[in-house]
Amino acid sequence: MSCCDEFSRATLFHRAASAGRGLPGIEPGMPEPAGTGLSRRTFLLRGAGVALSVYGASKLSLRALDEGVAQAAPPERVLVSLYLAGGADTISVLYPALDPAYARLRPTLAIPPAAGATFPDDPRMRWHPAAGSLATLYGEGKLAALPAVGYTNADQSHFTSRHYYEVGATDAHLRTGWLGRYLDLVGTPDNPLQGLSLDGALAPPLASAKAPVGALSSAGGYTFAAPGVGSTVAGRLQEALAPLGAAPATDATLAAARRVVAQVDSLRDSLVPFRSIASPVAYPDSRDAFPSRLAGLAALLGAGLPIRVVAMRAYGQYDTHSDQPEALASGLQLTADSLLAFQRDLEARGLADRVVTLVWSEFGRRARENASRGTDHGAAGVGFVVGNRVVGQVVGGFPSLADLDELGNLKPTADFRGVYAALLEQWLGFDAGGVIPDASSFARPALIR
Amino acid sequence: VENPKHPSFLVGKLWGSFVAVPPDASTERTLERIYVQSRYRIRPLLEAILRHPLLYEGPRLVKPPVVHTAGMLRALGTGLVNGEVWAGLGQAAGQRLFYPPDVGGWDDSRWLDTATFRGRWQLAAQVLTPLALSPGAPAADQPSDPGPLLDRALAFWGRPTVTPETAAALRGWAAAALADATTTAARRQVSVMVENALRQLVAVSPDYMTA
Repeated sequence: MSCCDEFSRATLFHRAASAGRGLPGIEPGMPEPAGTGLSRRTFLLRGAGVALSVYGASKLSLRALDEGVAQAAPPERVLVSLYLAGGADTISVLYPALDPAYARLRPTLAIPPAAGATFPDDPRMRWHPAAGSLATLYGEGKLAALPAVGYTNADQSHFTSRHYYEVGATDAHLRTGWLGRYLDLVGTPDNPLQGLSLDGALAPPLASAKAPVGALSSAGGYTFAAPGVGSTVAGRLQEALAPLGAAPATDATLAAARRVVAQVDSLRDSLVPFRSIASPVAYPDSRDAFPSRLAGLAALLGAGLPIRVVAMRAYGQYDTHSDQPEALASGLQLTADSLLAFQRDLEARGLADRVVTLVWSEFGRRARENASRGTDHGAAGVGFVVGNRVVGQVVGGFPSLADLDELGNLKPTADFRGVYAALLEQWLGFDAGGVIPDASSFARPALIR
Repeated sequence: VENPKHPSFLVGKLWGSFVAVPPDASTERTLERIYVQSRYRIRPLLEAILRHPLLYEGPRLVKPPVVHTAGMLRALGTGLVNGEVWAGLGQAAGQRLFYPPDVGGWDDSRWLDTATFRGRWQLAAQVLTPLALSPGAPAADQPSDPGPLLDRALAFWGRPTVTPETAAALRGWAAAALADATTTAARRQVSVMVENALRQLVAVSPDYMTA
């Protein structure tokens, strides 16, 4: 499987090296991800507090953050954002097995009708063979399927379309994520766990203007070891972080670095009980961290930590320009199986009524396959909403293969901003008007019971 | 280079990579003139920036992870043994060279947060692993007091500047760790471990991560 240039650092590197004239322009006019609006200079000139308040630091002291986390009550409801990177092919995830146009548009990629589980509400449709766990969740009424979510005049750039989804608007200049703006309105100034990224760096949907949010590589892996220190000193090693973080500094950048070290110590203390996660259910066995991150998240929620919103990336590479069947099946299998395990974990912990997960991708694939056993960037894409309280039905309807747009792409049957507004209002109980620009113009699908 | 705004753009970009505050108008004009009169050569411009007092006296910058790592390797006179490992750790620290949206890495305002700090910690551990002192074989001149141990750890890194507050925090921590050893023999062993630990802590200290 190969993906396009935007997804291939190696391709860019080698092309630049061979051309000998510097790196190519990756994409003219591409938007910066939410949270990157502050350049390094701005970051320094405006003081560390502003930048670090976006990415997990704050102006508050370690003690204030400790108290903030300790005093924050676990929210009644938690929303998890899960990103399928690259633009997942919606008409493979839920495929119109009996539509003659499907076989015509996908002469080599069409999945045989008998390969996938029948979609109960529409006998023409099938679940991808690797998406059996999603079929299970749908059968239990715990999954809403969005087979053609998108927006009009879809941008087919990974950067731009992903940015739109991350900020909750078709605005290339917006610098805060939609979940970050939500936290700005309902969050507290001293709880960096209220918005948690599990991908090792801040996820742009969580980028806020003032509410501190945390970024964590995994709930169970936040440890600090050093070579040649032995068990005796290793046990004390992390005690050095608190005094390093608490020492005074007059230089703004040094003070900011100290605050981060202090927050590392604070976060590490919060997560100590989760180093060896004992999940009540079995997660898929994988070398990838995705299943264990979900297991860790369930443990964090089970421990009552004050987490409101979470953002992370799913397993898999969905930018399937070539050899799509193998790549899609691999990503979809582990992602779907892990999601089912996560749901079972939440149920076992008594948390299933408190957590809803939104699965999204920046666009779908073109209806007609290309000459490389793959598909190119399209428009409407696939989405899911998973949880006990979800209305388990199809949202927006299946896209028509007989009514493609002028580029041969699927037309959306649900707008992603309407989905966000519905989750904000129906799940989080918050007026979407303050979070989603022009929210009143988007119809809200019924997502939550 | 034909664009009339090219010299000012380049000067601003290059200056911002080294100095945390913008140049005053006079400095900016001087730098642009150096660049243009040198027939658009980078080296004279870079030399002028590197000689400017603000580089040394101005506010600090957060070191990008690549610069942080290069500094460690340069101080030790070692090279990259395994580029693949480095690339993975660099990503954990928040920087993937040549990865969009800019060729310098992902986002230079995100160099430090609770996740990327751990990446820097791992980078330092990776650099230090082959050079770790053996606690089982302390050298004859192995010190066992916090002050000399910190001094040796700083010397190991080529004596980077650390603030008195950071030095005091590290000495205090070392004293507490050494106190765990109750016999002379144990203290000799633990002192080696503490020295290894101080190397690690210096490399991820707020002072070393900024410059």
